[in-house]
Amino acid sequence: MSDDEIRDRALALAWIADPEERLDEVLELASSLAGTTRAHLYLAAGDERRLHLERTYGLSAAAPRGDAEGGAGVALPLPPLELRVAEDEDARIVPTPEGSFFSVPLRGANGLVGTIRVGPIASGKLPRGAEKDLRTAAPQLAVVVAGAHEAATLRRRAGDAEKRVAVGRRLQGSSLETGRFVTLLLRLAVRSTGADGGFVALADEGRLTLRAIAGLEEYTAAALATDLVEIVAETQSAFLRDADAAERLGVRSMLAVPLIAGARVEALLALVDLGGGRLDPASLVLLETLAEHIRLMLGNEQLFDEFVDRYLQTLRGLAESLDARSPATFGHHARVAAIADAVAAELGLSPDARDALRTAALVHDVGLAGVAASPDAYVADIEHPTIGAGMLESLPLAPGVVEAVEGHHEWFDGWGFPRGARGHQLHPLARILALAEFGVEAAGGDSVQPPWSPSRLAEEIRERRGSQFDPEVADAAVRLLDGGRMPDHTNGGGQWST
Amino acid sequence: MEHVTRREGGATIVELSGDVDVGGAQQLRDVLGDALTEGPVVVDLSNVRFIDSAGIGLLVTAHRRAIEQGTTFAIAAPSEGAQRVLSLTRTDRLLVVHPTIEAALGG
Repeated sequence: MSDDEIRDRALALAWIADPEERLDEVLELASSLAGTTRAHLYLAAGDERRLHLERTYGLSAAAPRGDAEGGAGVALPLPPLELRVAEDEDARIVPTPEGSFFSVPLRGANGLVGTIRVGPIASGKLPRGAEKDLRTAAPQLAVVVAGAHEAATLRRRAGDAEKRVAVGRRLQGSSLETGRFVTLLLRLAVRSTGADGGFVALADEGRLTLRAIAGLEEYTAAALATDLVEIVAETQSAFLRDADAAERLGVRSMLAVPLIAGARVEALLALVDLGGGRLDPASLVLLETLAEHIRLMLGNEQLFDEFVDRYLQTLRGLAESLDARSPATFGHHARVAAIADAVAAELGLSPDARDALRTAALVHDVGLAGVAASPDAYVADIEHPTIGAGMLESLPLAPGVVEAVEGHHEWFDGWGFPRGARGHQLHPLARILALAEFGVEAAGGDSVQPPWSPSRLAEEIRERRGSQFDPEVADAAVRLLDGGRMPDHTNGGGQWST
Repeated sequence: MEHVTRREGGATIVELSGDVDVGGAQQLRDVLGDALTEGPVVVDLSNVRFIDSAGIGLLVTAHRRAIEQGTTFAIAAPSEGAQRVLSLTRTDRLLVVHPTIEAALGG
């Protein structure tokens, strides 16, 4: 291999998305250039003179196989966990517990990044040309290692943030089980009265909507609830208005109990006997109690829904106030939401999916509030999608809302953050939100650069199609931009830059 | 469900017994329809073990028809089970319910 080929091969490793995998490839390349079986990577952590063992390559292959040679219990020599190195340390052969190794310092723009050791070298020196090849590759490998190490550290930090969020979620989880409780109480009511099944339906201006079903086909419950039960609002009374229709549905006996809050029928608890069981009049006292429990639980659920709405409003307000901190970001969330919705519409997403995307878009950066005080702005930026998702994920929101917030800085090819998820690991809504975020954040204009014109934005999106952006999402956005149908991505200040 | 009909104090007394539910709906509709052609009706629920929402629904229908016809329709002496269902379904607030036959006839 020529020197140029070696440099190109080393630099190409920088394109491996997963930082851990990138470090493995660095060691594999170093080992192959040296013609050795093992390679170890030592990294500087703060103090450049002290390096710690970060990664090894080929070590497990060197382990003795079972006890074929009666070698059970033989301790394999291991590389030292820590090294002390001199400031002007050069590439050289060093003795180690594993034998002679060739040590190559990796120097970056800011000093020593770490050291790669390759070996063991049986004859005491490297094969012809190997030393030169390693010295040639070293500067490129230093760049790759520094980048991978930084990315791995940031991902670990993002992982820590994720763990903190998970603890919060467990703490809140228990209060969110009202829906399951209603079903549980319904089942209990069915069993204790000897009925075959039943349902709970919510009443809204005389119309009943099924909320929970037990032991009945859904169409039977729906027909009974929507067509056959009459509720008299003035007296809050409930009864079956068409016994013949009920009989055609296979009902032998049915008890419809209105659940009252204030002077209003809030819901209906119905127990149905299809001939398999028999409603037991003696259980009616218990039924009264269970009906009251169900009513209370539905009341809690309604309170919780109101709480969720208010909480989302608060988060939207918080996101807006973050936007208002600078003229360049003013209205950022609203603009991202408008662009995301336009792309979603262009892609033919359902109204529900578009609502979910809008919910996510209007709060996607709210996690910045949780890290605004961090002295390390870069780390704050890395963590904000995870923290934002954590502020939402214990709520019963539509599918994709949390995933979109968490994934709005991910890249389709795995090069984004915080998780480095790629392709279809990313929720479709996250892929749309990521493009909308780019359109507003990168192209919207700020104090340094004026906003990009729609045609320049379209060009950039075309170039990043398949790498940063999902190809389908990118195509939809380009169609909108080319057709002049994309909502304004700019902050309204300044001229286009083309 | 069983039923016995008799005339007493200028009203038709319909005495129901057993379980009044979807299965007996046709029979109950006929009985109550016939009784209403004769004027005031009192339904005696003292021997009813259980009445369901279909049975209650027919009592409400009869109650509404009586009002249309300018006559009266009342429930009398509900058994414990029947009273509990009337109360659970809140139809005791819609129907006219008397504790005894005498009270129903006197009212």
